[in-house]
Amino acid sequence: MVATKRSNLAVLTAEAFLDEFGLDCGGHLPDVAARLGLTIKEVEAATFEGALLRIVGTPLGTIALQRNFAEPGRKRFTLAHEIGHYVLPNQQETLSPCRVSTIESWSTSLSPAEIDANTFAAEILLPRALVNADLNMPPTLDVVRRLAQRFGTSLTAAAVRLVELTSFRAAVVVSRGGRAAWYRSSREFSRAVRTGPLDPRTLAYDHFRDATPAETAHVPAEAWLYETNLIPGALLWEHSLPLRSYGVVLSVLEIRERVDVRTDDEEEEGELDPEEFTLRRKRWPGR
Amino acid sequence: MARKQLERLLSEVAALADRLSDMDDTLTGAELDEMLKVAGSDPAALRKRLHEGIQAIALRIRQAGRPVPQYLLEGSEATAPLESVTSVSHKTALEKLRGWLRGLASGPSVLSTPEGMRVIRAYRKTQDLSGEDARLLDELEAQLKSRSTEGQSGGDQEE
Repeated sequence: MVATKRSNLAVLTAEAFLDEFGLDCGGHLPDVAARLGLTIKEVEAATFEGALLRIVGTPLGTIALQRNFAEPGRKRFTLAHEIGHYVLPNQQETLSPCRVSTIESWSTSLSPAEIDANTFAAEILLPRALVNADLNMPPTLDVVRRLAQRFGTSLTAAAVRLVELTSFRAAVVVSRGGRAAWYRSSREFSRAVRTGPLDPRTLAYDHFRDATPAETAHVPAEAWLYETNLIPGALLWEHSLPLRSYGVVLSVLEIRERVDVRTDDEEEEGELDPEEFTLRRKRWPGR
Repeated sequence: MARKQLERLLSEVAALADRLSDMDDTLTGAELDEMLKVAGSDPAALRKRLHEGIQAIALRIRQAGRPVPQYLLEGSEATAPLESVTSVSHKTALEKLRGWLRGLASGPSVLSTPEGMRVIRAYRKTQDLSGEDARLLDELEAQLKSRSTEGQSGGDQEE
């Protein structure tokens, strides 16, 4: 998925933020928040997880965080997300509250302001300069766990960051209530994942039926991907893990072998002949 | 306008743009904004007018079939609004955004505390906001306003 110009502002702002407060600032966000004029308050809220209150035109605000987060990584992400709302230059007049209940979500149904705040949070908690070391191996749940532990984030945030930066053909899917709710994919993935009811051949489906499937398996590519231009019988790797606190299943999909039917252009090209790249070539451009 | 006069005018505009940008070597953006506020000017509005002025001059030069001088291009980038930094060079964008963050970190001034204080909220909710949580946010808003009027810069973490 190519970043939009709007999310580029979030990426740029995060880059400037890391320059200003250090690559490791994700580890001491409360201090950084204090430097920015923000007071953090933990409150007994039941219907919101994080809130930013700010006085328009002044660097002064309050971030309210729900006291009972299921895991510290999610709390840190929410704090980073609220800081994002506070510092993003195009959100200084943000008035409308979030309309969607998902945290650490990149669902297309989220408002652009929410997606930008999530993008900002991921950039500062998992800086690309530090994540690079984990990108030279296939994206599996073990890599996701290692990233989450190293950077103190949730598994979802780590998985999303991994597929954003990896050069492997990978996607992360979050399913809720037996349905694939949203996904993010690497630039190289180049296929759309089907959202909606899960296919019974997926591991994620089994998790919602209270089965305990293997964490990793070869599954039919068509169980996750649209069938257009898909090689019949093509397989992909699925790594799925239930996140019971949130009632979701996190899946990392990885395409290792070719799954796409050759396009007409590719058919026409056929196999490349090395001789065609030498002076002995038979066909010359323009002749 | 004679070419020499135009060049001089453009140099003056560029110099003014440099001073209004966040990259001045002797004055930070926040300090400059503060000085302008003291003088009764709105820095954002001034920067916007200057940016529009530079762009108008650049357009005239382009329409005349001449290349726009580098300093004018730089002046345009330096005064461009923060929301449009994605269209300026990466280096300039980072400079401007760092200046913006430094401005936030420098804390509120007495001058910038607005009389008609307006608090805005952005919150991540799990469902519709309950009456109790709405009251909780009202309480936090009142505390924030009181902190602002008392001239406290905040920054403490409370649990």
